[in-house]
Amino acid sequence: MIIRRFPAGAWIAALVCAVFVFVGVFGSWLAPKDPNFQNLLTRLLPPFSPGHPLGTDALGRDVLSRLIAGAQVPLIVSMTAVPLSILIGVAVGLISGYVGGAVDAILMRLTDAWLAFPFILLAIAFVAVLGPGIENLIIALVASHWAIYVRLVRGQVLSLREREFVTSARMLGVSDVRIAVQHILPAVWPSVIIVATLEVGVVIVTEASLSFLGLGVSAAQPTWGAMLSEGRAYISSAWWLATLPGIVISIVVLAINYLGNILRDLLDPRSSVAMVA
Amino acid sequence: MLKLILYRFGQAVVVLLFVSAIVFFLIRLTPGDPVDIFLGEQNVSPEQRQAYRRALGLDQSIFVQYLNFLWNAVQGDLGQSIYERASVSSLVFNAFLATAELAVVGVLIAVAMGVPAALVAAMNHNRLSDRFLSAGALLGFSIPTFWLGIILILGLSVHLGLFPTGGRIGGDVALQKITGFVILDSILTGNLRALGSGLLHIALPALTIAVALAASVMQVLRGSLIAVKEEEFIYALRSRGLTQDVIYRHMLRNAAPPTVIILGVKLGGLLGGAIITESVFSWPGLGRLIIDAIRARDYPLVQGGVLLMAMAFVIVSLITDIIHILLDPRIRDGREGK
Repeated sequence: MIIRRFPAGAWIAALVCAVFVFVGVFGSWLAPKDPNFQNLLTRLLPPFSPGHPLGTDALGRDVLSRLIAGAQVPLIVSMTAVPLSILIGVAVGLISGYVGGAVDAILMRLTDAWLAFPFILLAIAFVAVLGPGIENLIIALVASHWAIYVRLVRGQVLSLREREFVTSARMLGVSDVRIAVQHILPAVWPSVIIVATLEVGVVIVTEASLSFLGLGVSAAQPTWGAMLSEGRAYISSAWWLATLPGIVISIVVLAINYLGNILRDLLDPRSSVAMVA
Repeated sequence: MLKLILYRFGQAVVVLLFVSAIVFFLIRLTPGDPVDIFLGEQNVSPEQRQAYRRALGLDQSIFVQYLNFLWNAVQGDLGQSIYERASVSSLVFNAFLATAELAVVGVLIAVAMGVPAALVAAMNHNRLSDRFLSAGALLGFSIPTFWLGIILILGLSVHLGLFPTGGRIGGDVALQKITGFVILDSILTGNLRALGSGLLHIALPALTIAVALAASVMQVLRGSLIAVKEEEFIYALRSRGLTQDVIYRHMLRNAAPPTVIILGVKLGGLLGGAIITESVFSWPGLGRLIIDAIRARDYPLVQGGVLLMAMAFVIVSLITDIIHILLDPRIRDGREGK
């Protein structure tokens, strides 16, 4: 059984991810207080204050409730942006590798050009063009991350294309589209899944970075990145405001990366995707 | 081999053309007219607006504008910044120097941390020290850069007062400009005060960049070292009674190519401006310049900045590719093509 080979840390990491998903989905019911309720009489309370286990921020809002509510945007964004990026990236990579020739050359140069921009810059540019809001945030993240999968898929398709099972399918008269989708695509999945797992972490950090720069969703929606950004102004007087959201992001991303590494060891021991991630 | 290098060079040129087109057209999709934003609510007649528009070349068709932009860019002229009243080339170039200095110091720190860590981990494969270092690398990989920067400022600058919180050099320190690199200039002019100030200013942002990079170096190099360790030629060296130092050197040379590629790719990305780090530490680099320019809708400045950024990436990738071709005899002899 594969499960047996999971080290103990994997269970902890899986638990962290499960908690992240649970809190992200049910956050509005779990938060002990209204995350946006302001009370200037109780502003900047340190952690372990009565009624505010993790303290309050500059507007007297409960930090614990805001951290819980803040899980929603990263969850929605990563769970939509990563699959959409895969859809586009894998399709382009499949076409590029399978069709070859001029199509391949043009698609690959376009991908190279796209990869020449730092992800965060592309995301910033798209948010600047489209304006704030969660849909635009997702579009920006897809626009900046799809190209990663292209090289990964294309490289494998190039070698798979020449394998016996593909040539024999072709001789049997199977159509190109069916060969690509039914015979080549399944062989590509393991590496895509490994990269995608690691990409979930990257997307969460990118979303937090955008919120940190003030380019995320609207101010009414608490997010970890925005909390960190607001807390920066109080860095010398209220350390917990900038510290706690960062710890939460780090723990979630660490857990995801750890699971990604384990998946890589299990599915792809020779680590053909180590270079991409 | 020359043919392969020329082929890669041609590819890079095509990539740069695509890059320039993406930059140029993407920025024109941005809502908001730079002329309106710049002139604001001022009492300016439509004729004056039109004249201003014509002076900026914004009255021509978009394709003519693109061709003009390309033609001028090839000659090193990236236009005038709308806000800064200076040529884009000089603004962008100065910011690029600040970014390059940060990137190079960051990469050096990353190599200094990552290579020994990888060596120790690989030699103690699956033992406690390996587990410990691998976990550290995973952690370094997972901590968001901007948070790490803030924590370093909080701990080392605000509380302990060891480092400045931002900027490139102390405001009260004079430095004669020769190359534009603070550290290099202060060494060249023998200005110890400036050198001290420059090193203190660069330490935290460079460390912030270096942590994630060191984690990548460590992970990749560790993997290839573990593979190389079991190769026959290492056993042969060992059985010939060579010292451990010599064996390490052979192992590192053979395990290096993937790490060199990773470093090249990351350096190329960093030369494009460590956007987040620069903004946390108020480092006057390319990333921060571009962010400010995007906010101000300074088309020519964004365009020029992003173009330089992507060019740096493509050129460093090209150099990395060429080094890879030179290092790996299989590719060099054309046995492994594109």
